[in-house]
Amino acid sequence: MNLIGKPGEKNLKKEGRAMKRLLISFVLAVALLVVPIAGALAAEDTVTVTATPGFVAISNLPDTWAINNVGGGNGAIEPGTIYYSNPLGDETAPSSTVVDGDCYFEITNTSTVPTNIKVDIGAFTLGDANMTNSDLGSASNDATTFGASVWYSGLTYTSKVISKSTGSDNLISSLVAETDLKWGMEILTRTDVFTGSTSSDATITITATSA
Amino acid sequence: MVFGLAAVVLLTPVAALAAFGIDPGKVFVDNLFPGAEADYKITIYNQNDYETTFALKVREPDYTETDYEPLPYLDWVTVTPDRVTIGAMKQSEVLVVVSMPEDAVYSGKKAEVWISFREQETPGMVKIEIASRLLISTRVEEEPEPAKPEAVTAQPTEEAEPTKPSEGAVQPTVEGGGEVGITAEPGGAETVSPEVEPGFPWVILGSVLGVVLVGGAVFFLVRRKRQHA
Repeated sequence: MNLIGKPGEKNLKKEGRAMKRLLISFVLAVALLVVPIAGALAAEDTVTVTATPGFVAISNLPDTWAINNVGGGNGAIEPGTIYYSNPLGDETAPSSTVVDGDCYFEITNTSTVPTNIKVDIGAFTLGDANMTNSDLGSASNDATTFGASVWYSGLTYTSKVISKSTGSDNLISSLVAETDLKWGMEILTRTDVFTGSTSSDATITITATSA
Repeated sequence: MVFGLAAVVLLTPVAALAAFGIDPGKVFVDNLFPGAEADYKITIYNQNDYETTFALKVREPDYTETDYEPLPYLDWVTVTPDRVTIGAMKQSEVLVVVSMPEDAVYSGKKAEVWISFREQETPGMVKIEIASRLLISTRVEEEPEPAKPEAVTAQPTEEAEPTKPSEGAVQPTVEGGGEVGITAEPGGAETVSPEVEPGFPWVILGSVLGVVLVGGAVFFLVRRKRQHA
């Protein structure tokens, strides 16, 4: 009996081991399948937020422009005339390549990243020289609209940028971090004559964004 | 800026340098999907030597990053508070939350929106705006089931009562019966293909039954083999 029983026990042990291996293989296979699937599902359901570190900061001086009164003019304006924010002359165009001396405004840029800067100008209101922006630049006006363009020191003057009421193109793209910018504006007044002497106001908005 | 017929008013440029900054200037929110929400903070630095109030708002971008479009749903993005007063040379944080509605249809898109910061009540007429750029990409969702023409022709009343899309949702046109076009959200396409729903529970039940049968068979064979041994 003992002689017969011993080989039977061996077979049982062998089969037990085989079953164990089979079970372990099965569990491993399931784990191999489940882990990547779970990972993929988890990744798909995750919203990622990536903030590019970067400080964006500018300021501008001066914050006012009395048209026809920064380059020797008398402050009175005429219809259908281009006026420049040019300290060298209110009716003097900047140099072919704009130089610092042509520029009345200066943006102090303390950003730590390259910055895009654009300039918008809204309608003139609350006076006798009211007019809206043609959004077509300083070569385009009509009875009720004015045109405006901007430029900066170092720019080829003919590449000046149209200043719209909103959504102007960038005056400069990717301005180097911590680099200031001297700039100026020109306005072509409306064609209709002015009927009074009460001044009108407009707001210039300088917008800075990370490039 | 002063503009008039006569040189009656001359404004003196204000000496104070109005200055402020923000950080971060650019944020990416990726893999956004319907029902998901993400948030982050932006710090405003008041560099003035006086207390300043800033107005914040979410607005359309004036331009976008390459391959991005202006986000058509500005209401997905909120910034709180929308007005903040900060002491001289101090800083403060605001919270930006991006929340995509459950029923939004805007799959696999890239869109940009700006968070605008402006000083309020500044004396000059040249104003400064600094905008933080938010660039969003949405997860690619599965296409909805295409509508079956038969289902539409069988229920002509659906034309009069189309599924009402949520505000701002994209409204694809689903052709029906070769002639009638109805407007519905992609999710609403299920309502014009009713064949899909009746079969659905049977697929699950059949699968469960199959698994049980296979499991039983394996158990039976193993047990039989053991008995043989």
